[in-house]
Amino acid sequence: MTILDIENITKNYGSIRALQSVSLTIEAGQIFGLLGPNGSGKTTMLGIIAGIIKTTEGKYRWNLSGKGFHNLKLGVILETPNFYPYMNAEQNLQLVCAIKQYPTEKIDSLLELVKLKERKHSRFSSYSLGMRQRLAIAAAMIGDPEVLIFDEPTNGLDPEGIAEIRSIIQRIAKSGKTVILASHILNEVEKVCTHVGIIKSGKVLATGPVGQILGNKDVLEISSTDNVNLLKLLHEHQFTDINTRDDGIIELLVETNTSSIEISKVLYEGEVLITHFVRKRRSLEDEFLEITKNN
Amino acid sequence: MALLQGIAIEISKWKHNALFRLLMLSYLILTPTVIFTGKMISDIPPLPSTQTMFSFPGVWHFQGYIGSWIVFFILGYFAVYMITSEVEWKTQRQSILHGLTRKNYFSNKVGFITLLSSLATIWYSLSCILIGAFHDSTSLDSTAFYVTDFAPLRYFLMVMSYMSFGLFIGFIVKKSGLSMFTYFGYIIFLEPLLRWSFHYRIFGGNSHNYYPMNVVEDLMPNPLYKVAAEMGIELGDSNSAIGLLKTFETVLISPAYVCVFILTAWFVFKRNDL
Repeated sequence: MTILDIENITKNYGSIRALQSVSLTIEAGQIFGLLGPNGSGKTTMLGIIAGIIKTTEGKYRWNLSGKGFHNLKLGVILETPNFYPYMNAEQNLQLVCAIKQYPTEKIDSLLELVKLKERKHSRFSSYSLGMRQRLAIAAAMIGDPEVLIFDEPTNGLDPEGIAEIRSIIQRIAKSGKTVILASHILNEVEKVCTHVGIIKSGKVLATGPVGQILGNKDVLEISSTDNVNLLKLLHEHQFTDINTRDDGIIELLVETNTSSIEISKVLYEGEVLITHFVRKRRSLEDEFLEITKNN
Repeated sequence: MALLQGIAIEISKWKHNALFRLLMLSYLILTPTVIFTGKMISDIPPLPSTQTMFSFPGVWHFQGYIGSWIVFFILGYFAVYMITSEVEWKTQRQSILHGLTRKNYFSNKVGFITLLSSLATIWYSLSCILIGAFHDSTSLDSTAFYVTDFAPLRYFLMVMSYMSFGLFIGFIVKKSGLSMFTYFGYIIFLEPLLRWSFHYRIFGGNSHNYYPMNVVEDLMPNPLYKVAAEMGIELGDSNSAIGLLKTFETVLISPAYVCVFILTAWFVFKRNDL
């Protein structure tokens, strides 16, 4: 079931075009990663679907259960978490409960989930960035939302904080909720998401399941005592996706079903002495860099 | 979302805010007490006697005039702060993200200033009745409610006007410091300058009195100024009331300005990105 349908959305800030005819469809239950470099339009996109940024052209449609303002069924964290600085965690969450018309009894269990129960009576202004982010996640969970939207949820956090937030998101994802996650940290997205959309300069360059985006390619890292001969040999055998890294290692893009033995046989017959031979699955980062480089 | 629920959300937001508490406490203390400074100077002619200032119906006018200054500085300031602080903390956009529609958010603010205006008017009325009762030798029931020119209604309109103007400035300007500067600067300097240095010089007559904040100020005018104007007219000086509007004009025009402030703020808020 389609939960969000975005049709040809364009957003201009004066003469700057932040989004250009963006169309996307997100299905219920997907963990959708919106990938893009800084300034690519991810936050603008999420701001639009969360109702705080107006479109210049185009429209979007939420297909959520029940009636009323769609944000009541969304849990949204956009950029930095924002709460009343003079109020404590509990008071801030009570306010969110009042807005969502949701009982306040679950506040304690939510604070427990994000490990803030001990500090629930401390003012928001006294919280570290990690604690603020965790409080924002608790607030987003109020009202049992159908869809959660996270924009760069690990921005500015230390490694421990990143791991904590990632584990919370993974737990949420397992509960079957639809999650839309914008990030430029690709390994974060690759670990969590089922589907991705790649966005650059306001344009969607690719979208689909993570497996489909990654394609059926592997990366073969080869190095030899004579790399000039090695390159010549690879070209002679019709290998075209070849890249020489700064450290001298040659990267070869091969089909997943291409046998490593077959390649090593070619090298052996070409009398090339191999010093490094590693085969690895192509990462989302590799794919992302290639897609964004070509556009 | 029902308006009452919305007002309850506003109350729970602000009841923990130190500045809000300080401002409300200041209003509660200053409104009934400032008039007592009149006891120190009341016997110096041509200033009014204690009897005039503290008894009915004079107390309604003097308390109203003093109250209008307190409202301008305290409640009007709070109305600006209420909007700009939420922009600064980004809790305005966060409220929408949590599930308030823009309409809910805006109507909650309007509902809250209406509540504060009503409470301020009740406090004003109560203080007038108590001060008057203590100082008036005649019986309370015959004089206390002799409310000249619907003073509580005018007071309510005056509070609503200052607060809706503050709300308007907050939504239009957004930046805290600049909004405060605009609010105080417009009322104290800009509008009087526009009225007297330009409008009156060019057009003459009485039309310069219909500028928004002058209409609001004339809801609760300085009683001495009003008396002086009336005396001037009696003595044949037709220009003596040139700076004052009639009561019914202020009561009719100020709600129109309140509507203009609120509707303009709404259209700006509705249209803009947060």
